[in-house]
Amino acid sequence: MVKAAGENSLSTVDGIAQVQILDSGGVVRQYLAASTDTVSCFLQTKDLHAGDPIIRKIVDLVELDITDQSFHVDLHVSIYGRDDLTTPRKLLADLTPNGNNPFRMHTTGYGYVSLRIEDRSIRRRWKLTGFRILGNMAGKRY
Amino acid sequence: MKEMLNIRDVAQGGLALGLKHDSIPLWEDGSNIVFEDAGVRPIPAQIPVVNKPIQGPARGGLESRVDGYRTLIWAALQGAEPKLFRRRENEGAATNVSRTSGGAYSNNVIDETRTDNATFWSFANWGSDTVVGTDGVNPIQIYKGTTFENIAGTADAPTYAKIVARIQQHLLALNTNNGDNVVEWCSENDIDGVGAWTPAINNSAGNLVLRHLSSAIISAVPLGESLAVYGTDEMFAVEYVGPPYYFGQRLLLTNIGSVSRYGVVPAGRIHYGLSHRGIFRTDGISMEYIDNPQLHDYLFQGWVNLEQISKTVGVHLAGDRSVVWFLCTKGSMKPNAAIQYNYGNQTFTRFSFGRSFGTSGDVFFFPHLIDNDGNVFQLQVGDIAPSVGESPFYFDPECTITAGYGEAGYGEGGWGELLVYS
Repeated sequence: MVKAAGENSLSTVDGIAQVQILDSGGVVRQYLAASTDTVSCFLQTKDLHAGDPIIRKIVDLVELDITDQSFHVDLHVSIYGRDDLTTPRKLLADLTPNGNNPFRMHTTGYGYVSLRIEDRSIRRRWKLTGFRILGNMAGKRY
Repeated sequence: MKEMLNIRDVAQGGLALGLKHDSIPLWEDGSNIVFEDAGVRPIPAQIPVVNKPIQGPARGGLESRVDGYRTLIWAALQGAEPKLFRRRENEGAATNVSRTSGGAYSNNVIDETRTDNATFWSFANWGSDTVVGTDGVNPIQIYKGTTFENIAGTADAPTYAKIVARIQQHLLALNTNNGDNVVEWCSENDIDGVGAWTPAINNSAGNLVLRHLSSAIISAVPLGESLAVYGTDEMFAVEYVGPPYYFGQRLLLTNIGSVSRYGVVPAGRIHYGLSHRGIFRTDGISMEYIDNPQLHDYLFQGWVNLEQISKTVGVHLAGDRSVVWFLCTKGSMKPNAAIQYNYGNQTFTRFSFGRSFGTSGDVFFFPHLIDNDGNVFQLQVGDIAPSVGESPFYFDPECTITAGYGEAGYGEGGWGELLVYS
């Protein structure tokens, strides 16, 4: 059983929410606090060419292997592409989660693809142990 | 549709800060993630456990066991006037344990200048429920469970010392008013008795000068039975040699040093440190720089505010098998980011939040981190719960701390709408 300080509500002191826990033994654990500052969490791969940068890759599906997750993890995946490492990356797909289903899309073909994974939730526990990118090779650029 | 890429070892190479494209193993950028085993995950949860007693950063501290209680002691800086605080495991809030006689502490250096490093207090456990602290300005302070107080004037201790440490039955004061490369020690088992610091035929007090040091003594960290003393570019061992000299010095390594009081972090008998030459690992016999030249350039030619580098604070996070340095980045006067090295899989990563000081969980079950406002956080509470106790530092094993929309983490705890105890 848990109660916030006071009457199941939070009192805020200089940006810190004071809470207390009443454990099963009746001991009150006071002065736990939850601050309100948040920071983002993200990962960005380098440009991946899957063996041959001059063959265009159309990305249809991205699978993330996530383990050790708490509740629903609100991960977002963005796919970027480019043909030339000297030119800016182009955003091809910006995907929001859909339950436990893989991230599906159909991108324009580029020689390089890269992946950005971002946790936009308020801090969930998860662990990424691998990922797969599936799609079609679309022939050589030239 | 066919499989184009199948990446299994996503921890490979960690975060490749500063590397050019072809040299990057996999991840070229990221923030607030850690690499462990073959996976990547968000940094461990942090639960704020003590509301800031005063508005200001922490500047040094330690964990101790005093009068039977696990105790966190730290110095907080409000302007140039520091205050010392204590948090016992059975106390709900911070207690001011600053000296009661002699007036407020004064003249701590808030921001690094061309001539002065930012002030950091140094503390040492003296055993017998006694803790010693010093700031390099005011007299050495002694705490015996109530408040810190000036060391007795009749003890003839150095007027001030920037670092205190303990070896065998002696308290050592380093970088004192008698010289910034001087080490002085008290007589055996006597830190505040009459004449305890005056070398005499009938006591074991003494001093020595580290004349090979090309700078002031910056940092001192235990290395087995000796004390590793760092300047900006040398590493010495100060060792107990017994009577009649009691302590001796040995130059261990050159081209190795510390940028700040807490820039070198012990992890067992290995030291990890941030020097102006890079990030190193040493056992006192050999050393190597574990950052590559590209990471070095990334740190020192773009990311780090070199004018405030003396505020760098390293913390050993044993649970993550890692060492983290919180530091000021360009344009910031406060430690506002961190670089972490995982010595288990030799990967680097970075955090986008700052902490002004941290302890490694020497006495408590978890490390403590203190933000730039003075709030105290406890690391990893949400993931690992030790045992039932009377203290808010403990949680039942089945207790899941869920704040707001998720578990507390990344130096915050969501918005704290509800805590779930299951």
